[in-house]
Amino acid sequence: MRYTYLTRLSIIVLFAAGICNQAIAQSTKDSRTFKGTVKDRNNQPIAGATIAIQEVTTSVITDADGRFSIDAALKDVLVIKKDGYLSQRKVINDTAEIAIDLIKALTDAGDDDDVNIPFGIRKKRQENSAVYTLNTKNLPQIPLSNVTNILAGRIPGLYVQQTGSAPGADNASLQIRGRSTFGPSGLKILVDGVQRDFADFDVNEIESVTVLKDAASQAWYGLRGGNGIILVTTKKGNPLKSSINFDVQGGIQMPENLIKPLNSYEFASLYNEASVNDGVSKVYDDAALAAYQNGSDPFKYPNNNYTDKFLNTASPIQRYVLSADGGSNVARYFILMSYMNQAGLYKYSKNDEYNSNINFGRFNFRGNVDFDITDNFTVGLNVGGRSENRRQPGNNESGAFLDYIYNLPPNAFPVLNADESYGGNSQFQNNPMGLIREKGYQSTIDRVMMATLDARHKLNFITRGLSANINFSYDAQGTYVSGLTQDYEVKDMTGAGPAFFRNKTPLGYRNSTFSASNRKNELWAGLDYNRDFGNHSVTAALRGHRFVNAAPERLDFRGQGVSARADYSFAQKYYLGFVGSYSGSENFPPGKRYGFFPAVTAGWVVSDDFIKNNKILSYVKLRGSFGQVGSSDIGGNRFPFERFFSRNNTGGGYVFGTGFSASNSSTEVSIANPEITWETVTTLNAGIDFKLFNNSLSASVDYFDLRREGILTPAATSSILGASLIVNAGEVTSKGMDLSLNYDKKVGQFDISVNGNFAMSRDIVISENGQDGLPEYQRTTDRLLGGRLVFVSNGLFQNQADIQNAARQVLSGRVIPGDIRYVDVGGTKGIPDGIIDNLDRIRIDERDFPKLYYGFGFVIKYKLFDLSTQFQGVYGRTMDIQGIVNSGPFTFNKESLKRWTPENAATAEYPRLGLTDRANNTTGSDFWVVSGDYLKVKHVEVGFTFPPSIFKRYRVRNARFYIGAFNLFSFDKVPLDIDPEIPSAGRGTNYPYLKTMYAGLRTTF
Amino acid sequence: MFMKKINWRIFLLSILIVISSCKKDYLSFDYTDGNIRDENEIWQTDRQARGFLNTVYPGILMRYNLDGNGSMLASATDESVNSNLGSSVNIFNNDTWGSLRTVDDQYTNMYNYIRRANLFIENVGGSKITPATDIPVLKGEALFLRALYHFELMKRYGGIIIVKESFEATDDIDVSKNSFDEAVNQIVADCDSAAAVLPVSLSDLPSENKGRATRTSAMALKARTLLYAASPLNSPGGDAAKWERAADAAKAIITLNKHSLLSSAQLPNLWNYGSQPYNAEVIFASQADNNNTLELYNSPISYDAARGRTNPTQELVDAFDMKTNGKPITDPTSGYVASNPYANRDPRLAQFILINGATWKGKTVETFIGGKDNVTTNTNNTRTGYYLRKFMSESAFFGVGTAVNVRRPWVLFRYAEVLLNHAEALNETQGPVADVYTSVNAVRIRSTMPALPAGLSKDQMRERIQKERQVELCFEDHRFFDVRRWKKGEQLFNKPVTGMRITKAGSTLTFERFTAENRIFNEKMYRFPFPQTELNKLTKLEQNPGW
Repeated sequence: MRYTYLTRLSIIVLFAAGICNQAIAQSTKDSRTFKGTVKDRNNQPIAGATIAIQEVTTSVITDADGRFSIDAALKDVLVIKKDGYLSQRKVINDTAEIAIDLIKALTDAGDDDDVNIPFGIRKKRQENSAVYTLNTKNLPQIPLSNVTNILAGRIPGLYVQQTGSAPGADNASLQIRGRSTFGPSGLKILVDGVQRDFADFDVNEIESVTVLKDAASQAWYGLRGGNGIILVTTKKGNPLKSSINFDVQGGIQMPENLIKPLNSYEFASLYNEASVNDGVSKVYDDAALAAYQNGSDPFKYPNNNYTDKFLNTASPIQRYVLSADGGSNVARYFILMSYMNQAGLYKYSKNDEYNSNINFGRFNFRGNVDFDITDNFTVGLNVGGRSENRRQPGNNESGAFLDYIYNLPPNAFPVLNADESYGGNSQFQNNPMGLIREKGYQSTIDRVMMATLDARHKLNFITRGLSANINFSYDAQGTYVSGLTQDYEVKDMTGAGPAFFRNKTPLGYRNSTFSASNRKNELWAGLDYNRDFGNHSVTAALRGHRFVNAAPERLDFRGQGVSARADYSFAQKYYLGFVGSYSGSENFPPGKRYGFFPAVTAGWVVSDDFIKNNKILSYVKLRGSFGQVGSSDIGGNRFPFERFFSRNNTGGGYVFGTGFSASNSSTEVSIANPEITWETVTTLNAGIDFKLFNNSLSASVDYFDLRREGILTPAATSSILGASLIVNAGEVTSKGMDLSLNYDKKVGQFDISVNGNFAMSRDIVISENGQDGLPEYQRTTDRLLGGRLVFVSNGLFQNQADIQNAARQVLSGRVIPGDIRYVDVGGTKGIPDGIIDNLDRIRIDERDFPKLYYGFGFVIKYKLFDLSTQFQGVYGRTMDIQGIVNSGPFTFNKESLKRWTPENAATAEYPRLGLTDRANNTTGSDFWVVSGDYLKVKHVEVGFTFPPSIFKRYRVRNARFYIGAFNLFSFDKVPLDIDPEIPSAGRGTNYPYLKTMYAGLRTTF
Repeated sequence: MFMKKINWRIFLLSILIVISSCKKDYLSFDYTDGNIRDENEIWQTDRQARGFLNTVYPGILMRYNLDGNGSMLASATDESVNSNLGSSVNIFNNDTWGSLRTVDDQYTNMYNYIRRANLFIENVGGSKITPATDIPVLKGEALFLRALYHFELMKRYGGIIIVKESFEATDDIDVSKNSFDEAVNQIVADCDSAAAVLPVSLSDLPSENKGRATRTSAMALKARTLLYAASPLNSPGGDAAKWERAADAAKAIITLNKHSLLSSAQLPNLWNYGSQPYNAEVIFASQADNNNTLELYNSPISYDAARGRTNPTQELVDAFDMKTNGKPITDPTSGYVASNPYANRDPRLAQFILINGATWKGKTVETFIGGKDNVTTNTNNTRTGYYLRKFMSESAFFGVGTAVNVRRPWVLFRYAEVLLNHAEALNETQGPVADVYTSVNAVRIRSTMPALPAGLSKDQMRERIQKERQVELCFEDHRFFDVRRWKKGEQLFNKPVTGMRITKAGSTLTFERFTAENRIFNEKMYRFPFPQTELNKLTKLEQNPGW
């Protein structure tokens, strides 16, 4: 294995060297000395401006009179930069003295203040709606397979919750601002203008991530906008300076917060106790218990700790990225290749024939090129692709393997019998050792290709500032499954003679399958207009679009519409905007299919009028937006406006006849709701941007008030209808705010940058169908969206008298001392009725989604060293820990030792044990609801940049070595050893929670 | 220069083409691509109209696995105990049943299929089914199924809402329920309409159509419905006319002479369609699923991780009489020996129940303490000392990597039940006349049991018939509803059920009865509670008494 990695590495290095040589070979031309001056608009000289030649590394600086002289050749492009001014490019056309006018950049309108909007870039100053753009130059390089995890805590109003941890499956769920629907709430992600995912990108492919949070920014997307939008742009070539970057990273991932298993003695003792609680007699006698305790016969009385035996304490992860970008007057390019590999934790996975360990390997590539075919005509082609290989032991049985090692009793069988055969018996036929060593593996390869062609033509001859643009994408995806199959047998040697279970089968090839041949096309075409008339500037865009998501085995998903926007500003001080779209979805009937979604915005840079030259407050902008977007997300129920029948000409029906083949079938799929239409989301957003202390501290605060109406939801009709239908019913309001802060300061040799953000919302259900028959205390209306429905616990029953004196609990057949006691809240007549049943649950304002979430971090640079860190936190979130406390074999683990028994009745943390009929103690109640708040050190990194002199002769411009950690540490109030972000990790069938430590070297040529 | 001009023109033109081609049609694409069809196409195509009826049938309940974990309704009666204490079937037994904690309610399920039946009945008339002479027959099948699905609801809830049309989303469906008698009349009417047009019995169907509804299945449903309607629960004052109708309905099937009893040796083939599909005793059965889950769930625990779910009770075992003299074991002259309790018993005991020492799949079943099928550390261990045998096939294998499936239907109506229905109803109207003896004895003699002694009183005969049903029809979902309609719930179900503890010392077995599970039955449990979720939606639907 090591050999292959080395080979791979050396190929990448050779390739890099090849590109270097070419870049070096280019820069030999006839050169001479040019002179020039840099001045501002008022004809005052500018000192300290940097003059560089495009594609050449040398540069000069202007003197006190703004004068410079530089060695260059004709047709070279000069790049002039100065803090506080807009950068400029200038082509040397003749030998005359060069005069350069630099324009002072307005606050929030400098080189680094770009904000992405659909098919456009604005300066932050110009934007009136709630949009936040994060440039990836602020993001660390972390070897994670899912790039969305890196965003956690970094974008105000974006909640990132990691939901998995297995190699190639460390997914995260994303949510913008609060929650405003009880239906599907997935936000839409658009990469380079079209809808596609970016979680599996290499972070270096991405230029920026933009979150569109209010109606005014989402309205462009009409029916796709209602749940929020994330815009991702991939990197483009930088025409100013070509560079080649090579990243090498390696690290380890360590499991944490694993289930703590019992040993066999503890297990058998608790099992006996639980049996007695169930009203059955003990099943392990004293001799057996003694044998478990002294380990005298490990084959008859085994004592396994599967997690120790089968999980490594760390697994390796590695990532290599080679990227190059640059350009000339007429062309720009960005290319990238990366490889990452994330290995699994499973021991014993290697045999002579194969390795069955769970594993993720990914190869990404990207080539983004832009050509200026004429002065007026530009064509860009963005092509990205990846190949991902996910391997799992057995028949895609990583989950089963984890199930065995977390949930098999420690005394189930000896993992290996005395004769080295696999242990097992009639009851337990699955042996983790057999699965990992002799059950083959499955490899699932996903190949994705994404291509976007973008063309723009200036139409200045019609009117200046007008251009036409067309953008077409083609994405294809396929999945290929292959591998090896094998099976093992287990042997029970505890009986009179050996008994065998399972069937041993020899190694063979798995049936390979090719599936998921998906195709996505999206087309946007239209006009842009940008022009200044003195103090008046006008920006406008108009585009039509259409998209299709097609696969051979189903009907297409489609959408189309027209979007337009127009913005006007006066003196870069007063801003007005309008955006609207006419957008449709095939989910709705003709006549209710297309909606118009308008929004208006306004902004005012107050500081330019009233608080000029204030020493503390340097900039204030007020802004507001109001508008409406729609949502057509309807889950799996397609075409709900029509009465549909499905047919199957060859099967699906009842089995008749002596041949026993299924008859053909036709079924009514849905009954029609001709009134069905889109959900509307109306949002008011009011914001303020301000800067303090000479612009070193900037802040943005946004308040929002959102109302979602006509939520698409299953109708609450009686069963006698005999069918289900989807209706527009339900209304939710969400009010809240989000805030971001940035502080940048140079103190002596220290360069300090601090960021912080938080978002909070209060999401209230105004109406939801199906509430009428419920007692008031169970209704969702006027309560927090997503609130839990729970029984109210009142301690544990201590004795039989307690039970007799309490209301009768009918949640399980058996109620005995040590069970949870519940409060009699209501009954069929709305008043307490002496029976604890589902009418005694109440709706509480506690939920899994946080009421508030925040993030903060800092970067400190000192000479050659840098230190950065990012925190993420949530507040006002609760979790139900019942399933975690009661995990493991027969729900037993080390937590079970804290259960109620008559002896420790006073200190018991959990109810009594039982093997079965436990619903009374496992049903959703406030007994199990605990705070899920946490503050997490998501990321820490320390870097050292080598002095340039060291590598200069190797033409290395920059080299930085760094070490870091992801998911390093969390502060929480959970009374268990779990991670509150992924509470079930390391239990059930879930991969353990992982902490990642890594080191890397970035070299820039 | 030329290129430049062409460029922008072509470019602008292409954009215009794109925009102008955005016709509304793009979202109104032909949904009837592939397998989605609009209503017209279904009824105007012979194959698809017939296909619609093929999806009305799957509402027929298969009762081998009620909770997704192998439980059977028998475990909600004194027939058996479920080895899984946490099963929802125990809700029937432990007094936690209620409108908010329902089990086997079938409410939504049955109305879904009633809708399908109604859609077919409403549309088949105008359909393009060819030949058109098939239309009344197919409609008859749908009428039978509609009756069957209403019956499934009626036997649970008593009075129910009868649905005879397919509602639209806009219809007002907040209606009150129909009375029990109205439900009976509707079911009988549908059965009569169906019986008038359907082929007589399974033997009259071509081989590819075996399994469809027949005249005898409609007649058998009618006979059972009328039997239920005449029974004490539903006819509290007693009404001889109702019994007479029930007796006549059963007799009509006997008179047709289309069905007969299998021999004792062939009896297991009722549920083994590998050997004798659609045999003469089967009147109507569900489709024959191909699986091994019944064996996996119910085999003794030493067989490949089997789960030993349905554990027959001692009460049921005791109901099997002595073989030679036909006397119950409680009779001192029966010859029953408590230390050798399974000797010389009704042959059906061994056919229906796995007892200690029985042979199953080539191995001896050991349910004595410490035997391979009585391992207390196994949570699936038998809780009575017995395992299920009825329905199961020895040719099914369910071990990892060795799956062998068997074809097995759930038999809803079989001839033996019709005979017992007839005997019961006739005994109530005319007393123990010869015809009553004939019907009961036919069932007994098939299993090589002696005929009933002559000279029984009406009450004695009733007891014997009820016991014959208990034995012959055990585990077939009858006991649960029979005991209820006999109004014997408090007497039979409100007491613990027992098992047999067998201790082996050397080669000597000792037998000791023990309480296996406590059971609670009270007045309200004669009927199911309507689900609370349904009461929340229909203001006029009245809950059953006591719930």
